[in-house]
Amino acid sequence: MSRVKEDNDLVVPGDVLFNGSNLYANQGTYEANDKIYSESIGVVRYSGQGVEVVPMSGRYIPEEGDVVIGEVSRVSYSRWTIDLNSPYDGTLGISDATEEYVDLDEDDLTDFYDVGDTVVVKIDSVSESMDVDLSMKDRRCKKLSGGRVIEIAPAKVPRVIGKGGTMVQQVNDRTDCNIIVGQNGQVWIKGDHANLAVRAIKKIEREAHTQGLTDRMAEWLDDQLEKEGDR
Amino acid sequence: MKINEETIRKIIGDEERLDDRELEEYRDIEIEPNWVRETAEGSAKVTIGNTQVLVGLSVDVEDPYDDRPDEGTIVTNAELAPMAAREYESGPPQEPGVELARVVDRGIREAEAVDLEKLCIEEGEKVYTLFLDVHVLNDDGNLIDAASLGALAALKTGFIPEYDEEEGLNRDEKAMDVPLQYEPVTVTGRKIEDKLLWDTSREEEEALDARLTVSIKKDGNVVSMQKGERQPYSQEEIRETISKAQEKTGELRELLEEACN
Amino acid sequence: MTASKEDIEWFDEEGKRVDGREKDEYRDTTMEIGVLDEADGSAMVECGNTRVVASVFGPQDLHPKHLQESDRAVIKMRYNMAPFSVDDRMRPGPNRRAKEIGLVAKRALEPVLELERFPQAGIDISMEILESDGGTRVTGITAASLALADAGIPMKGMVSAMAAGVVDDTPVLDVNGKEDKEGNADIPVAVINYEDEEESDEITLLQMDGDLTQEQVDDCISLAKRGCRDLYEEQKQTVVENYEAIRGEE
Repeated sequence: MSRVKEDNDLVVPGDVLFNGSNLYANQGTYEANDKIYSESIGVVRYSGQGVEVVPMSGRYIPEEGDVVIGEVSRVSYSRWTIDLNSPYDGTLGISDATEEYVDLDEDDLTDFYDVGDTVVVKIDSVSESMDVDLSMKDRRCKKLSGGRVIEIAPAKVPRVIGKGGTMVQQVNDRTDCNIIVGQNGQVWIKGDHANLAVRAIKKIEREAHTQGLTDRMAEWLDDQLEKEGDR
Repeated sequence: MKINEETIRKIIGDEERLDDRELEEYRDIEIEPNWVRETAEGSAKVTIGNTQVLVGLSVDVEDPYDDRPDEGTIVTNAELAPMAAREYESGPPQEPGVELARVVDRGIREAEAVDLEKLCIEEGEKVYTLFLDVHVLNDDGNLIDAASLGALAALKTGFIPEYDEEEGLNRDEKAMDVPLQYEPVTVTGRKIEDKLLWDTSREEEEALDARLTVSIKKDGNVVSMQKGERQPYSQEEIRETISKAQEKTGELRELLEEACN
Repeated sequence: MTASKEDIEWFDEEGKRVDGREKDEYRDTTMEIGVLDEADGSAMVECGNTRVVASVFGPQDLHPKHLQESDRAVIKMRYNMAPFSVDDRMRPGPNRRAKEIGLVAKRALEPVLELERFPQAGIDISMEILESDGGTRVTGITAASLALADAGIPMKGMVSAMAAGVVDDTPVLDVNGKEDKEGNADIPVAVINYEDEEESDEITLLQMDGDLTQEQVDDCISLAKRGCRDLYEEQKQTVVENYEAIRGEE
């Protein structure tokens, strides 16, 4: 029973990570022939209990508890369908959308959220057949107005947010922007130096797997602001 | 989820762009002639920003058109490969693909860039046919300019193979260079919210109101034009566009010369 | 005047093939991953003068809805040759050969994909042949496997593919256009590769055109399998180089 790779090694599908079966095969891995293999291109992480591969890329697949940014794509009689930039849409029911009393015969659902609205929502549950139930009942959830939404790879979201939110906070501060990063890779940006914020986020995404990124980004942002003649 | 059309209009309305370029600024352009090594008689890969287009020149021998018995023919075809963007589907040529082919074609054939009489082998019987095939690999906007540049580069660096009565076409032997008598360079000016801008990305093109494609010869004469999309142009806007096109075609012509020599 | 099959000197005095290769040598190959911006995953593979770009979109919403499967993702596979990819221009448009190749290529890749992970979704794979000199479908499959990995679609292993053939009664690896057209057989093979084996024994593509003894067929398959393994090593190398380059950026 042994580790085959080093922590943080880059692996590809079919690579052997562990000889033996007494470790949990977590995300990005699978068990076969009494061994654990990688199923993604990614970085392998061992822990006492298990092994996982953090993938380099991949479309967003909804997960319970995630807070995401989506766009209302349809309004039906008693619910809204939200596009999450995923193969699976989310559904927001009335009781999960608002505390207010809604009379289905009298009130117009579009008064709350209309097609095209951008919203921050939380994923309440995901069924086996991929029915995604959403809720607004989290203080982070709301309708967004103004600003713009850009797309980054969901795999890069943790890096863009940074430990304890430090990376994105850095961008916020220097660009005087409001930035919300959805777990689904949708990022909402609003503020004066929005263009710079967009470029900063894209740069973090590109260099996500490098060392010393936080400091480098601070320097780069200061540089760019100087160029814009704004210090 | 794409960026909101409304947001694009607002940004362009403020005379800014999504990537901090000036309204008239082109993205980085790369032209690689002879990208296809063996199977085409000419080719070029053109990259503008993230847009990637490959143009191939294939030469064959066919009957001339009845009404032009002493002229060779040019056929332009464009394929928006499904890989070029998520929204594309496989299938018969769709509107954007057909228009792209026709606009590129207009910039070359209508502009009489190629001396078709030199492509005549036997009057009324056999002429060379030039096939220009535009293959879009990645669509990040401004396909017309990329495809036109690729077509011209392919013609400039391509060749016409030997043809023998008995043996047929011999693609290993060059009979002559492609008889280019003019080199019209094609650029497209676009309009969003009454602002005139150049080299739009695919996101920006979501908010496109109108476009005007202009082909200009070295001597500055305009040889072809095509307006597209729904909104109208004023005459002053057309004047402005053509003026700017003079400047832009000059820039592209320089890049083309560098790449093809 | 084209030489008849008997006239071609398939091997010179030193046993080298028409393009200077040994009988078990495959052509110079280059691979690149992430070559297209719009696609979720992409790769370009060049094997001699055969050059293929592959792209992957997905998993994504699948339309029309009646094509969806409730418990797994559905793969759509496209194989297309650019008109200028062959000497005599190929007229654009769907054709039966392309459809068939799309189907066998799909079957070559399906077994490694965890399709049940994505019920109702679709995965669109595309192979564009930009230049053809024999072995387009196998080169396409090798590229598609890289593109799938680039797109982050979970896979049990990497699929690589290569064709063997017979010229002058001798099995040869990676037939080029001429050897394919004028030779005695063309046998494309694809396999699933895992790190912990010397050679794969899971063959997911096998086709044959020709006229061979059973033994020759077996020799060809062995030859192709070895070539596939080497190609797999190159796939791994390509991935590592691509991502290490990003990681090493300081």
